[in-house]
Amino acid sequence: MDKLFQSNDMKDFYPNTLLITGFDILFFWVARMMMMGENFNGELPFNHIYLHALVRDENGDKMSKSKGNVIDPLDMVNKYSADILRFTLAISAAQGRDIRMSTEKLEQNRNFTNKLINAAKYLQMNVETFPDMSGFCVETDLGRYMMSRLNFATKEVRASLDEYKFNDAALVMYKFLWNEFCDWGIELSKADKGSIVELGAIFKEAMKLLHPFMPFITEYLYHQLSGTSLQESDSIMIQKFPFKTKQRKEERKFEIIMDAIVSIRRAKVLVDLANQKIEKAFVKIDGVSDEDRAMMLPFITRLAKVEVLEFTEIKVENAVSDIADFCETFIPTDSIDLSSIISKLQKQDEKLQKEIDKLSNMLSNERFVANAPEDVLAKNRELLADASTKQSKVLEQLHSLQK
Amino acid sequence: MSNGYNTQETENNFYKIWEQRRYFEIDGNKAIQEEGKNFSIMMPPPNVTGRLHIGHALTFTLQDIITRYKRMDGYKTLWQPGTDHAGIATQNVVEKQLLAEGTTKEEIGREAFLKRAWEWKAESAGIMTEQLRKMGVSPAWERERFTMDAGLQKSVKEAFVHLYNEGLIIRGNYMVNWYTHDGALSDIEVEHEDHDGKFYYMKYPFADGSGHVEVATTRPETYFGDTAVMVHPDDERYKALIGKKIKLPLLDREVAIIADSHVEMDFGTGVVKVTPAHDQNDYEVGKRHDLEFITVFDEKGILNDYAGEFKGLERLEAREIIVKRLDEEGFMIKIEDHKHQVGHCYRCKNIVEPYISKQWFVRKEVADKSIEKTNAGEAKFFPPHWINSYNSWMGDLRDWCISRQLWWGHQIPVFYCDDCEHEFASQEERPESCPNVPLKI
Repeated sequence: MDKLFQSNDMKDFYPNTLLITGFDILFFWVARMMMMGENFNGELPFNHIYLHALVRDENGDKMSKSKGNVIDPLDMVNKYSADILRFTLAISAAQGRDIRMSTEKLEQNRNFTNKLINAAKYLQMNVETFPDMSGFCVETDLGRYMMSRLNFATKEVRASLDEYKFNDAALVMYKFLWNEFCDWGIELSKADKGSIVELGAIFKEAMKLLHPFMPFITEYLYHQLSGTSLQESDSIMIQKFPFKTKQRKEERKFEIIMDAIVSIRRAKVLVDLANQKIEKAFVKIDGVSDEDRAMMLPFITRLAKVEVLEFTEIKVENAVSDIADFCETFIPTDSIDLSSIISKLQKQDEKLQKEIDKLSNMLSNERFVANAPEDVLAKNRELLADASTKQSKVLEQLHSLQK
Repeated sequence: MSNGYNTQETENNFYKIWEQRRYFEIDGNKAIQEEGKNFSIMMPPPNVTGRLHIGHALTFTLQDIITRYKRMDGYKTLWQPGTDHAGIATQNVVEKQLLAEGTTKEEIGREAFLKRAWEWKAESAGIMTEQLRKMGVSPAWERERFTMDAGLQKSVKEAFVHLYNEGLIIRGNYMVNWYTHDGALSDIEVEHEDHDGKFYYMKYPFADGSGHVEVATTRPETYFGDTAVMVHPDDERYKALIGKKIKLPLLDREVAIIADSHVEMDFGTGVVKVTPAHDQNDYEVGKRHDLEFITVFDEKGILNDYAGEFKGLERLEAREIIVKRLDEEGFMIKIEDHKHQVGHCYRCKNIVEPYISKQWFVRKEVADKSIEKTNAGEAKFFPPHWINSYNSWMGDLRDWCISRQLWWGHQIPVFYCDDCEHEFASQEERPESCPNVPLKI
């Protein structure tokens, strides 16, 4: 059998489904192939013709030896990886726009690959190997939420690739894996270890979605999490590309959970306790059942770093509060040690007062005002106004804490 | 790497396994293929002796993303790979090698030169495709082609003969870069350099004896090939002269004064001679105005009958003699120093001339149906606005010159019968008989 050309080739593969090439040769050889292909086969040679723009440097300049801004792809493969170079090119390839390359972008996507490796490590610290999604039932609330997000990503990646919007597809994967899976999914799973096996199965599906962009690391992580090796089993590259499952969209509860966590974190910043554990917080959420509250409680408690979290129907007095999209949160002032933040604010107040005194004295000195250049006067007036604004904010904060 | 993932090692190992397991071939995903789903895409072939640059990296990454997506989505997938013989680039490399060895392609001859070119190809082939493998791409490598492999040589011949027999391939005049020792050069073999030349102001008398115009040229020896004199249609100085006849100096030949908006009014006198067979711009003018193309020297640069009394002289050596005669007869007004760009052969630095020669063309009618079908939506552009560029280019389509002055490439499969001089195209290497007179030749 002739390896180069087989009897079914014309039937199966002509016209070509797609041609991908640079716009600069549309006339030189795309148009020529179209006239010749049509002439000899009675049909145009391509169904779709995708024309991409040029690769330029970060400032939009053409790469050239004389400018010294050439990015050599083989050097980049050696320094970063083929995966990182490919992903960087894809996420920059918006239709009709020049592709801007820079080492910063490559660095950023290297961080992305590290994020993926760390996510897999976390999953395997808890569960050794993870099942394939087919025939596997996702049952936990968190698992169902992440599955719902994976479904969204799957739909978007397919739709974008079907329209050759490579950058959109890559961005969907980046956001899903980094922001949703790692930043939220993994963090939330710390409050529900039972969901981890499901998250691992979901992560493996996501590796299939990401495979066309990053073929190597997805192969590696897919086997890593399956407890298999490429040497001994089939490649991820011949697994079925994910489809959106029939599962209902289940996102509202976790939107509220994440909203509450962010809200409490913001309130903690106000009292200078960001990232520290606090004793107590209240959440006021309207229109959720007791059952839902019970489900939400451990996630919010764990991620907002609160010892005791309570739901409330009314506003809590004598508390630092924050208003978010779905809820209001409160940190009661008697539950936290305010002395350090109060003394800090008081010191700020004193310092600002001194500065205000100094500037006011200067500006009420007639001789100074008469002799100083206009720009110096303007500068000092500005400083005085600034200091006064700052002081009133500090006083306001002090007031709310000392209630 | 501290996170346990060794990038280089993993990428190299995985790639080897994928390729060994034939995953990239059309049945590599047999287990998940779905009936009737086929996907095909061609790799625009990179130059066989090239080195991977960032533009390649982009284009092949995008092709691979779609191919891998379709393969996983159950399509029988063909990504057809190959490399381009890169006529000019490869020929140049080999010529430079010969030059360094103190010889030339003309000295060693066609056969020996092609042998060298194939050797160089064999030596450097695989560098590009190895570099492509580093990108993780997944074309059906077992089907890798070369644009001059046996199958494609056959296809090129078949296509040529077919189009030739339909009258869609014709021979016609075309302007090429000509070097009187070696023949035609490709554009990239010509280096343009500043040259201290002269501007010759000549007197061109009206045929009716009512006066003259002044014409300036850097190459007075080409005026024997003038077939018009040209002014700008808005030039008030000369408007009244449009249509008047000029009798060329020392010759018994008349040409008309024509108007063309390409004339630069403030360059020289604003009156220019038009020599369609010996100047690139005039060639275009000649085609626009349907002028006669008169070639005044032969392939070796020897002036012919059109040069009248100067016939038989070498064109550059003839220049001073011609200028002297024009001066004696009162046709030379003045001579000024003039710096201008002149094309030189990149090898021997001799002056290269634009020269009309016979070349092969595919007639533009070949494109008619493809344009029609494209506009009927049978092919779709992404982004869609490219249909506009396509249409504007196709609207200006001219006959397509397909012959090159190269040894490394496909040969035009046209033959001439020794007996009856009949011209014919054939797919055979050495046709035994002429289709016109079926005798052994």
